[in-house]
Amino acid sequence: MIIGYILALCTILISIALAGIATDRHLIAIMLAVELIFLSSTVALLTFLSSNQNADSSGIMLLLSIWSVAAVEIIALIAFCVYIKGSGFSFDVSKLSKMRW
Amino acid sequence: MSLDLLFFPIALLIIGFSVALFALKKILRAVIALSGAFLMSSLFFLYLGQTLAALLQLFVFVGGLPTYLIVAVAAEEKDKERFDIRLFFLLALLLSIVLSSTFMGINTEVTTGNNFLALAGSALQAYSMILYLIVFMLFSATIGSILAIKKFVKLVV
Repeated sequence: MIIGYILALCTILISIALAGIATDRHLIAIMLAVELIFLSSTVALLTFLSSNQNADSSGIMLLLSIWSVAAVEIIALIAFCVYIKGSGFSFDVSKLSKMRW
Repeated sequence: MSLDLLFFPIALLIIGFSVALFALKKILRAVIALSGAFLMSSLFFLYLGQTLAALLQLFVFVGGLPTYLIVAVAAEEKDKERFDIRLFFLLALLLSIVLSSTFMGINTEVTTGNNFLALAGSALQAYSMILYLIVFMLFSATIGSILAIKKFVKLVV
């Protein structure tokens, strides 16, 4: 297991997700990109935790926190989906302009 | 075949699914691509020797969450608005190069793995309150989302 390669994978994943957030206009796609960022952080965290010679459970709380926040974000996304569809709004974030300055 | 070589096909598949998430026009297929990325990451956790983490990832992020997501977005008929995919790839490449500079000096040593989640065991008892807090937060978010939907949208059953 070579940590540099795994970190490169995490970097590429975060770059793809950030590029998607910057370029895509669909609300669901943007929130899925945030899920991708959570995934890459989970991979990096698990890599460092599993490579630690003195194994302990100190990182497990951070791992569980990341998982729980990612799960809650999905729940929020589903709520947004139903609300936006029911209200007749568009999923295009450039058209969600009522809170603009 | 060295076990280290298994990393490359898994990594390529994860990256492929991540790119497909944005390249696909239909949002339902994008959700399925995200599920594929989670599945590959579960395999990656297995490669790291973390069997419990792989199972948790599989049950929750592949079996649980995409189920709700697919049901939620399945009724979305409109395709995504076209966006400049060349800009997306260029931006992803630039960000990869810039962010890679943060770990350029790191020692790429080969290390042995340990199954730290299996060793967690009784140590989790010290964190039981935080675990309850996390569960409460999840439950509150779920109930709150449902109440918000019922208040603002008339659901036709």
